[in-house]
Amino acid sequence: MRLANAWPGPVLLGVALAVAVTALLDEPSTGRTLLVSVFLLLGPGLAVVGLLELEDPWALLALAFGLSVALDTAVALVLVYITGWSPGAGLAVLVVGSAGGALAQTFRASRAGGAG
Amino acid sequence: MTYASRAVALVFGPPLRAIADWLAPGERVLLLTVGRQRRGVLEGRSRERTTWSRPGLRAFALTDRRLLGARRNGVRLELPLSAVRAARARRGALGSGVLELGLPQGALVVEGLPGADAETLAAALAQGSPGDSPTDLGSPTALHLHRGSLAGLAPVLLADLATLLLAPAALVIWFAALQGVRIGEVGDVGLVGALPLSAIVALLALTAGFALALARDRLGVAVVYVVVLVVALYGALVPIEEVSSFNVTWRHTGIAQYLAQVGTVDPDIDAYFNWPGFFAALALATKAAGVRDALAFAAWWPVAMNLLYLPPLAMIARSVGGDARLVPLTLWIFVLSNWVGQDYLSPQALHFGLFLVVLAVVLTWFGGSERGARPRVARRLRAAIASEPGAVARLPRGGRAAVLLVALAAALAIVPSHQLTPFSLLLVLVALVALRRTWLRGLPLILAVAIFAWLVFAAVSYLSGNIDELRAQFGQLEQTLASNVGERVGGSAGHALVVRARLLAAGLLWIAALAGAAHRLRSGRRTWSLVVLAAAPFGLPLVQPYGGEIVLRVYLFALPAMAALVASLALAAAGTRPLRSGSVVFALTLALLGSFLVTRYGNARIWLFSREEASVVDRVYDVAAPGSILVAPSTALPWQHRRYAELKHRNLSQLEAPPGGFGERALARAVLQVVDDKGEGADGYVITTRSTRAYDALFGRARWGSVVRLERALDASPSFLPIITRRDGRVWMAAPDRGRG
Repeated sequence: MRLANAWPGPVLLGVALAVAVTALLDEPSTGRTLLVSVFLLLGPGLAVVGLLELEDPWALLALAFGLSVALDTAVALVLVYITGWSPGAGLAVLVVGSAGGALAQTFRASRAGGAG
Repeated sequence: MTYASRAVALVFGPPLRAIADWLAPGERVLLLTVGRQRRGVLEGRSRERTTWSRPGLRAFALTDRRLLGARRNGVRLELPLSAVRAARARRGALGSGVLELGLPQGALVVEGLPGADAETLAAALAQGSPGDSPTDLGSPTALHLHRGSLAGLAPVLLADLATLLLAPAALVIWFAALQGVRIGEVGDVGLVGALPLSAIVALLALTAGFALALARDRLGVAVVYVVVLVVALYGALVPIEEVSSFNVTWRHTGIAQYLAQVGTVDPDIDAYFNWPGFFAALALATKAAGVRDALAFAAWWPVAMNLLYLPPLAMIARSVGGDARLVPLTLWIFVLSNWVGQDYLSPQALHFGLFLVVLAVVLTWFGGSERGARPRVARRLRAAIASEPGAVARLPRGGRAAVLLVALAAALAIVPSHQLTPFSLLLVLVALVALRRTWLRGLPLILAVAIFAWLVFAAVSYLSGNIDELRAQFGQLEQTLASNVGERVGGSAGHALVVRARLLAAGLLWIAALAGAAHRLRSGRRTWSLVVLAAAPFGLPLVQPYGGEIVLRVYLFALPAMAALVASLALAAAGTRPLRSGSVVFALTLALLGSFLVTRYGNARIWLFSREEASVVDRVYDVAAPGSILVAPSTALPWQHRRYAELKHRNLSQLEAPPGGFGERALARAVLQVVDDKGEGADGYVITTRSTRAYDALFGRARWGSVVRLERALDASPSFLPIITRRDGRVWMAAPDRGRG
């Protein structure tokens, strides 16, 4: 298992869980603002792009950023145009989706590690 | 086993095993040592004059036939002894040895060797035979380093560490220096006039560190410097700000807050609500972070954006191949040249990032013309372009489809979020397809359909209300240039200096980029994709002036390619010798840095708001009844961040004055007409602040008069009642019986 491919899954899973916990506790803090910012700018995209097992960190970050913003925008537009405004639900979709992608990456990395 | 032995085994165990595996039967190892490869030729492209392999720590084995070098992931260097044209050993830092080899393909430099090992290797390689090598290690299955092997590496690693530590040290000094700067000290030329000497010293240290890192081929360290530079330059206002800076940030916060509270889009409010993607996402982020409003994101937003621009920018620079130093130097030049200030909390900032991501994907994985149609223009041009090799990048199976979907998602996300960026992206993509720099003909087609669909279905409200104006502006290049350039040169002497510095900086950068492109073409390097990226945005002014800002946007959209072309020119001038290379980079950085501090923060005086003026404005939002009209002399104040659609905001920029100007009573009457323009009979408030007075000083007084004169006129008028008077802000309420008394 290459270290470069092993880190995104667990890290993203931790961040997604932390975002969920802070949202449930609903206590404003600088740490929460930073956490949510990093998650929304990189998290949802990393959940998908991490599955590509890119070796190049520039490409990984660029694609994660691009896809994250696209997914954030899509979810937010669905909320304002279609389903009705519910930011909690929107965040939940992004967190659950990211956690799912992160779990898949972690599972795949551990299998590759076991095989290797 | 000591910790040192464990560390050595961890770092050099895999390379030693790789070398052992690589040995031929009967091949004898004569010398085993370690060093740091600086420059190589074995993994580069044969077309490039300067090619590089990845620098890094390697184990080296001199055998009776060849020189082997291995990194952690296997053997990467294999030189037959007879292949070396010249070999020289010299003293490096603190007694370490440096080995310089001349090969048919170029130069190879290994440093951090023990001095004696460097001389032994040089002698063996110069003679083409191992000669009297000191030790014969035989043909072992397991190789072990002797105790002195690491002696030369320590000084090299210490120098690396010192170079690396200089960056955070400079950052600490920079922010400590800025802590002492007060808003009132920022004058007509902006932040640069208020910087203490220690801040300049910090920037010089950063410049020197980067130049040193690049000259010594520490490309990873150079990238660390780029990151630190982003934090330093784009976070410069954070220690100075009393509240969030820049009035448009406040307005964008108000739009996001409206969406967060109302939850639906009303396209009739204004143009922003016809492209609400960014603001809906910002509203979602505001709620997710549990903050009162989006101003919580504003301070570090430029830093975050510029950091996120780096990965796609690196991919774009790398897509043209060649000298590995091109990537960090392109990033460095981009950071030093992105003075247009479009990275604040805005749709432009975020979607410029997506613009870069789409182009990075296209040029990295879909560059070249292997599936393209024959171009219809300029056959000679076509022949020149078609000779470029295609981009090389590894992807897993199915990866190309996946990254294409990511690019498509990013492109489509721009469409509902920003008026201009989709057109800019479309222009660049069409140009890339037309000149066969990509074979993705479907991507611009899909983007064009999406833009059209959005305009027709979602932005129809804006389109129907402005179609005549948009049609009239189409193709009016002269008028566009006048509003973008000519009308901006004015105001105080300091401000005029800033504007001229901006024009000069843009012009020089473009000329240098042109020279860089010419040099690359003469050298037979991949160039045309960069030329397309740099040139295509210049088509935007033909479409419309974009509120007098289109030239700034052209500069922004063209900057990635311009930076890469300038970096290319600088590397050509720098050569590969460390002293010359470092000097060129240092001098270039000084020029760009001096320019950046003036051009980027030249207007800081009006965009920095004091806590008191923000609280004065906020108080109006607390008391104003729904439908109230808020009037300010200009837009340079912290407003529109609350009750965005509930209150009406007007400024006096369009107020026409009679030929002799207004008297004070006439001015008060004219302002009253602005308040009562549509006969709504609503409450009216006039707000002046420290920043609106600074706007006067910087840009010159408006046609209707100055803010000071306006304040006197309102004080003297029975139609206005002063309700708040502070040093940094004043508010008058239009008398309820105005016009009726």
